[in-house]
Amino acid sequence: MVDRDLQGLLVARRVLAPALDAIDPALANRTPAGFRNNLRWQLGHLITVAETLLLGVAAGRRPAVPEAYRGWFANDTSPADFDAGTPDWPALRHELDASTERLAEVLRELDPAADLAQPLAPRPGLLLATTVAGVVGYALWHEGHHGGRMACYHRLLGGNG
Amino acid sequence: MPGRDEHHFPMIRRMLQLEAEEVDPAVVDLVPAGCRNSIRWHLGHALWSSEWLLLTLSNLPTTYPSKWQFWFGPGTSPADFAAATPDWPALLAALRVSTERLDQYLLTFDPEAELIHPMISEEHRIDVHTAFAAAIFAAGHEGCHYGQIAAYHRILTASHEPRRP
Repeated sequence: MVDRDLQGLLVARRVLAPALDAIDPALANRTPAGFRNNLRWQLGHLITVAETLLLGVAAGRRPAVPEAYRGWFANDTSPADFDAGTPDWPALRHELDASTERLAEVLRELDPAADLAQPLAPRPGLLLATTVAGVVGYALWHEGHHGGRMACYHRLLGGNG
Repeated sequence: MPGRDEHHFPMIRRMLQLEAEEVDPAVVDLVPAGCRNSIRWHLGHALWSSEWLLLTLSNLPTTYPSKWQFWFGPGTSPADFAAATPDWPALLAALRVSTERLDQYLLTFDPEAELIHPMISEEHRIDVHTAFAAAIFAAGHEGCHYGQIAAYHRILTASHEPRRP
């Protein structure tokens, strides 16, 4: 039951992956008019935050994505922070699958009712979660949030779907 | 421990409420070029869907009339709107009523309770059987439409605000 209940994120990834495969890679580096980011940043951010929340905060391990991802894709970064080492769209698409496998493994092991070693509170007055279940819920919201933005970017850039 | 694990949902709903209240009502019925929906549709759809997941699947009454399904249910769009479809102020009021109802539900809900109507999709390998799984699914779904409301708002008001450097 526990196993099944935490699987929502994997469902989200099963919907996301084919949607990404339908995107013309040439669009990934274009910033839609009026926005600050692009599809490449959104995908890197989605991968980085899910790993930080689920492997880091929920499971108490080190996220497996390279530390450099934080400098390119953490909150408040943007494509202006990219450099020659920043993974391109195909590399991020590959990393997404690798990360999904890591998350699937950790989601099988987590106890949703377990308390976090420290509440997830990125700033004073903003308490996001005190339990593993709370982190998983927040992670899924975050995943949906950026998946929704990517769908919008893609349409605004003239892509279908 | 009923309710304890679920406190992600009130927090997520608060994000949606804050975003919706910041939206310029003048743009809620505009459909950005290339898109199919409007901010009004996205908010109605997010609200309808979360009550469907958290209440309807457990046979609990919703705060919305059943005809909301024909305006905001899956596969609908603003093309389905009628004169009786709630306007923006009505949707914001419905959001507050619904949030109170869901907060109340989450105070007493049993995360492991089996849903009376489980949600199963073979295509996406969705197998939502418990109240907890439905709440988790609702979090992802609200996030998706929150993201689209935020993006629509940005694009629809871009001509009025300076672009960040």
